[in-house]
Amino acid sequence: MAASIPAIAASAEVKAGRPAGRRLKVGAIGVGAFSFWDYTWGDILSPRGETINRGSLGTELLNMEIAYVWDRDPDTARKFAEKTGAKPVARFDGMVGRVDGVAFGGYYEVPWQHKLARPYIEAGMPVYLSRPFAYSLETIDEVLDLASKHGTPIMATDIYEHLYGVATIKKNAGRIGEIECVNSTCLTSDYPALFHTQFMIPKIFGYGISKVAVFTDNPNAAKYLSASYLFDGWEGQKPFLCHSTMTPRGDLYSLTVNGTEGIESSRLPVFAEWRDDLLVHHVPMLTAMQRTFEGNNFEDFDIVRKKTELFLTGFYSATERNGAPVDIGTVPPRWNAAPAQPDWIDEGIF
Amino acid sequence: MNCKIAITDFSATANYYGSEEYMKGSRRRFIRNSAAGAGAAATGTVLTRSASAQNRKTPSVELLKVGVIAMGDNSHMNYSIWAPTINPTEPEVWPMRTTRMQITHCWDRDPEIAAAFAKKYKCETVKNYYDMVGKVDGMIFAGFNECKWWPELTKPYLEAGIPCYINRPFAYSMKAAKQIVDTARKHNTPILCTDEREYIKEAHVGHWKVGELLKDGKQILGVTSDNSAGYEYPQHGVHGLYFMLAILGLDVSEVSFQADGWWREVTPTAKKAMTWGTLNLRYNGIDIEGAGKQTKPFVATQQQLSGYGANAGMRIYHTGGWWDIMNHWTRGEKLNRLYYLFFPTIFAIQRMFETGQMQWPYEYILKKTKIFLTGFKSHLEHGGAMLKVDDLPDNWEAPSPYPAWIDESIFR
Repeated sequence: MAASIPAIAASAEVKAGRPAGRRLKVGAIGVGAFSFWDYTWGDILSPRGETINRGSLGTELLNMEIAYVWDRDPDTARKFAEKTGAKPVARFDGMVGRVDGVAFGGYYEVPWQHKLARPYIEAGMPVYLSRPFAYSLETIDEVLDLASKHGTPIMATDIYEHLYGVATIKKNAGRIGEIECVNSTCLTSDYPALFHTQFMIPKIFGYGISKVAVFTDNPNAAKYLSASYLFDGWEGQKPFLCHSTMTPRGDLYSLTVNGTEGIESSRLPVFAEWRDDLLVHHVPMLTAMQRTFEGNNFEDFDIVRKKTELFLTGFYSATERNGAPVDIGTVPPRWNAAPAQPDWIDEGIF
Repeated sequence: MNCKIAITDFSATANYYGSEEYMKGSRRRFIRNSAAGAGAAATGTVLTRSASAQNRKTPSVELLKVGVIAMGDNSHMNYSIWAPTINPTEPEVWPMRTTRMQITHCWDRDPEIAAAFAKKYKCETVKNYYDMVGKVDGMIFAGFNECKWWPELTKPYLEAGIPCYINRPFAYSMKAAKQIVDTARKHNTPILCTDEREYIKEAHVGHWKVGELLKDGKQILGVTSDNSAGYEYPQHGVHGLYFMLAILGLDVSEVSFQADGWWREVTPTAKKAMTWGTLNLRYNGIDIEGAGKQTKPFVATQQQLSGYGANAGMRIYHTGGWWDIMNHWTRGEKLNRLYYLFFPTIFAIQRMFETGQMQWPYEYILKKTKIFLTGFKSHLEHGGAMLKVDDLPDNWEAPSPYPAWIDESIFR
């Protein structure tokens, strides 16, 4: 996997017609059920103060505008377009050459994300990939190899990776001696959405994880769910376990780090005021997305692959090993996790 | 000096000793002891054990005579933990008499260990493991290394109706566990298998809190816990298990023990020393009589740690937030740690010896042993996968870290 990318080839329409101060044109893909476009991004980027979901911020924060939109359901795309002033496109690849970047906002679309994103990656257009990024190692490798070949900036993150708590915990954890264990909770009702803490935690402690164990009665509709990760440690730090519990009601996340010389805790309660949710919870990631659409690759592709592998190894543990720990690096590349909505996208569009 | 304290004890507890509860216990002892005495005489066994000493009514000012088996490595009677709280011969550790028990006799597989213990705590050694029958009011099987042979070592005493404390993890197979329980049940002998973390205040408060949450209409969503496990499962990991069971109940459907080993050092049966581990219980729900019930399943996970400044702790996540409880490592003089962590177990032992009543029924002991063994099997044979407790075969046997600890010829 390439660790760095060459200079970015911007699309012809955008490069030629972009005067100073022009807003970045963003393409929205997947705006229906369980999409951040409908839930929050639309409100943050709404250009006319229109309410998309809970209400616009009443002022324009970022330098992006929603220019085009596509959804598997044309009617959903049309309704979103009407509220945001965007133009719906008939085909999933209809925004090539027309935008500065494309953002996938959905959750159910992820198993087909590698096919939906292909035209844009091949065109060198920056892409935000929605988590958990891919449902097999083969498909994430396909995406990253393609992006590397075409020098395309990719951003593949979860929203929790951008929270201020990450830097705070990372800094304060250095003051509590050697880590004994980590316990966390995540506001979710299924395993895929455990990606919130699953990707946040290695952002804090590093990606040196050697085993993952997940047990649940049903990864896509869990009554109970528990995940454990074995961190290899580093010089002066022995291996330690991090555990994550699903809590369908409660804080967005909580995290407690037990050290030999103290304890560090962090939590993010559910917001009482929706504007705080938009500002504190969602704007940090959109800010990073804007940087990506300006032509800056967000992080090393190897990190994207590691995160995807974490997710898939946990899924494999839950469905193939009855919750036993599975070594990272042992999930077969062509093994596919089971999608929550296996018929969400009509393959005929490809 | 002892007499004076005993009188004080009596005056303080006069109401109890005249109570129906105490008398019921006394009658049970009399009936049990009489039957045991008759039975022993009738069989004409080589080991003639006179139960006549059991027929005497224990005066309230006398100390209960206690026999101890196993005082060596990994025993609670070693390391100045239990012994000085019963026989206060180490004033720098435990300065005064605080129980109605006196260790009068002892046996260990190593006569030198037994002699040293007897000298230190001013009791008598016996030559054979069964020689305390007829001499004591209760037995404490205090070891850990001897667990594999508890069925044989406890048998003479269970058959004689002598209340027995049998140290955790109780048995290495359900077959052995049932053997002990069946013998006890047949002779109406009370037994107790508990540990300090099941009996500390935090376990009781935690259980009460769960009841309160259920009564308030809350649901338990998940639990994380920690346990000072000393890098092994059967000796100290089980402490953490009992802590979880004491708080959350026994309605455990599946168990997994995920670790890189199960014992703290390499032995003939332990191929790798453990460096990390997590014990996971999948609950069907919780039902606390008089408080509330939950049928929604959840998972309780416990990290097995060492040296983090606490003995056991728990965070309970519920529909409304979370609740923490922690039993911290007690600081200051040694007495503090003994009192807050270990002494509640001593208290429970005395209560059983005195009243003849069991803290928990036989079925409770069998169920928690089955949960413990299921975790062991998960680790050894299934790579840490979740296993159903109900599927554990009776004849599946967990390894003892020291499989040749006892010379089995002593049982012939």
